[in-house]
Amino acid sequence: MDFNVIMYIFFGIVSIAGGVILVGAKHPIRGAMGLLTTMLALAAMYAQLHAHTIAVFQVIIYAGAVMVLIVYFIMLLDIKSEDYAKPFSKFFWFGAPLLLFAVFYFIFKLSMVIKSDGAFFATLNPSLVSPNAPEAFGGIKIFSKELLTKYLFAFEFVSTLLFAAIVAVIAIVQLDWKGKSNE
Amino acid sequence: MNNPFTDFIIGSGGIYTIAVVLLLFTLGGMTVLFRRTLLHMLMGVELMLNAVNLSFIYFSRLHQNHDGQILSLMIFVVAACEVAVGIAIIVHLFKRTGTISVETYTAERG
Repeated sequence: MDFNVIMYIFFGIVSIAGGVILVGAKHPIRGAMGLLTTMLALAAMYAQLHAHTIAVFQVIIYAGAVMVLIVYFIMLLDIKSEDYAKPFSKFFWFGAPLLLFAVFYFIFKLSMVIKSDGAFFATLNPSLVSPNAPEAFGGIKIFSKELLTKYLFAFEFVSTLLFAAIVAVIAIVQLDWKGKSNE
Repeated sequence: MNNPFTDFIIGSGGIYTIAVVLLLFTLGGMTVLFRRTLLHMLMGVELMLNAVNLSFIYFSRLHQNHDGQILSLMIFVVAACEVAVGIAIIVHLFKRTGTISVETYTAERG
């Protein structure tokens, strides 16, 4: 078996393990570490799928900024341990197996359909899927060229969303200040 | 046909990737539905967004098309906004009630 294939499968299993840790961990800091494992494993999978730019952004934005923010606030809130005495809702032991069964059944059915339908993914032209250099697909140069020409409106619009988020956060913080002054 | 990894991606790697995406999405959904702390629910939403990103990037690789990658970049921004606002709300609620257990807030349902 090819080394790249083995690493792809390995990182997929690692990402699922991180998700299981997130669901099962009692303390949020352990869940955050599981989520961090998932994000780093997914970054490796992105890099293998020729999305080099997105892999770098995944490490910088998600594993760097977002997770640091979450871990920082877990530390800052310093939550009492009685919040973790019963971490799961009472529907967990009924609902979780049901959801997992539904998903595995769906995957099984999907694999049956793909097998009986004569390899759904193989109908793609193999020359289209040929391995490319980063300069031709997924590299920062060609990626940003596409982002700043074809998707310029989406790019600018998403910056508006960031601005709206800043305004929302300031509004919530101001709510806190006003609540204090009323007391 | 020349590269074994490309063959894997077109062939059985497809169902493997979709299985990983579905399982990650379900684990994130389980975290949102069945955990009782607000921070865990926020992290579950992050996991769901990450799972969707993987499927976008897989299909973008399959079609040699940048659309999926750019869409996943937009999802990054949305997730960052969501974490900022979500954590501000959690801190506000924690200062008001002193706990982040969701059962404290059942009185606030509509």
